[in-house]
Amino acid sequence: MTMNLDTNQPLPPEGPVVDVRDAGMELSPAYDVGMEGVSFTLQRGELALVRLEHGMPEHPLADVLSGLAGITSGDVRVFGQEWPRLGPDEQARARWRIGRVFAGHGWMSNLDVDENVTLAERYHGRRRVSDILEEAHELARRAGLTDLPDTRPAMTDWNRLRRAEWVRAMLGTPWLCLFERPGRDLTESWLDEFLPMVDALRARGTAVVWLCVDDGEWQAGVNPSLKFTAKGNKLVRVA
Amino acid sequence: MQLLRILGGGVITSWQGFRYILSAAVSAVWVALFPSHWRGPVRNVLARQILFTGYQATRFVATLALLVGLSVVVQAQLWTTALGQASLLGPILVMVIFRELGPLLANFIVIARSGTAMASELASMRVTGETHVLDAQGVDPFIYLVMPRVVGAAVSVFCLTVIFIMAAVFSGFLSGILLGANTGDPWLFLHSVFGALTPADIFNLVAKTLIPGALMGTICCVEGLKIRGMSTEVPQAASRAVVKSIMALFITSALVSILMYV
Repeated sequence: MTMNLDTNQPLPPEGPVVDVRDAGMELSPAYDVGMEGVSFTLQRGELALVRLEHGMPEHPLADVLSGLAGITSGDVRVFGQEWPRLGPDEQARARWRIGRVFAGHGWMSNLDVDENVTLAERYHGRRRVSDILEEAHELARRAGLTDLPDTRPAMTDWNRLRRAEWVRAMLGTPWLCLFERPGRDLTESWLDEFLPMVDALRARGTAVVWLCVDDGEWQAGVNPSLKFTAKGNKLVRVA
Repeated sequence: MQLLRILGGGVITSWQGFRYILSAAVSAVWVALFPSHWRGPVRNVLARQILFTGYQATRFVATLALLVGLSVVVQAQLWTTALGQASLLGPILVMVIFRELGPLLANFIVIARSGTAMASELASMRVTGETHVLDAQGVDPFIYLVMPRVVGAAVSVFCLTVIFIMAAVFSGFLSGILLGANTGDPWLFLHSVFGALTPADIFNLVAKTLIPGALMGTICCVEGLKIRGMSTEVPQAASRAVVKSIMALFITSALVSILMYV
């Protein structure tokens, strides 16, 4: 099955960026919960905010949307495509268009942070490395970093590391961003830098799924298009 | 009957493992043939692999080759002098070092030095979820992690073997002079050594370096990546990788020798 998806375009194809219908998956050891009857649709520039249950931060939603965890029921389409119908190369190119801040360890230990940040862009993109680095440094400044760390992740301060992860997620022109607790273990002021960056992304047409645990994020001026709270395996829509 | 079942089960498991490794090795070589897979970050991994596996091992390989050359010459001189055939020293060096010892020892060094490191590194990546991170960014772990390591290992083994042979022959000549062997003029000695080479020897050298090198790279990557995510599995993966790589080395060497010289 070939994909009619030109991943070199700055915007995702017309139609929903994410379309999840009655998706379910069994609980597996990698996550704290499974999924049951999850349904929502995200268009370009929309944001879904999901508040996870306290003590259950490992949610499969980001992996399901990335095609890295298979669903057992329902239907998940990202960029209008179903993951199982794509070949390995097509899946890889589609994932390149998904920026992500990981819930856990999100780094290659044997690369410096700046190499990590630009890895996917250098791997898939056609831009010159100097152009990629220029954009990364600009994003880093907006994320509150004086520069992009050029040390190994293990030798980098958590505050700088987490902000560098924002930069990686937003580098290039992501069509979809998955933020898993982007402010994890950061001081509260992180939202001052992060929210304008998210607004800029959305204005550009990027859809965002934001998983949070803290009430601070839930009540902050995120201005979500959709709000959900996790209750066991379900996501309950909040008005 | 129970014994038969156990033996049969073992054979089937081994056969399946062999097929899996072979298909992974062939896949790695196959995808390496496509220039589109050699993107910047992948080329960096290849360069780092050759730097670590090849370049950083040259001093050790050269030292070992000097000692091996000395040992072989001492033995060869003893026997050729006893038989009144001192002029056979060159061809004997070719047979022993070029055909067998060079490829075998270079492979051993790479397995011991880099194979364990490769398997441990990839196993650790599995434990810390780094392969998942690569996948999530659209970077294919097979192309980014496995392919350049397999190619890097094969190229490194070949280059190290050439260095080993050169150093061993040089050492053999020098120690022959020091021990009073009839090595003759340096050019004549080199001529006798390299004149003894046949096209089969060249094929033998290429086959005994590139194939076991690629197999070693594949085995170490597969063993490292197939763990389920517990840190206690990391040393086990490294150990399994070394044992299987040595087994693959000896089987390949024996098969190539049979095909080339029998």
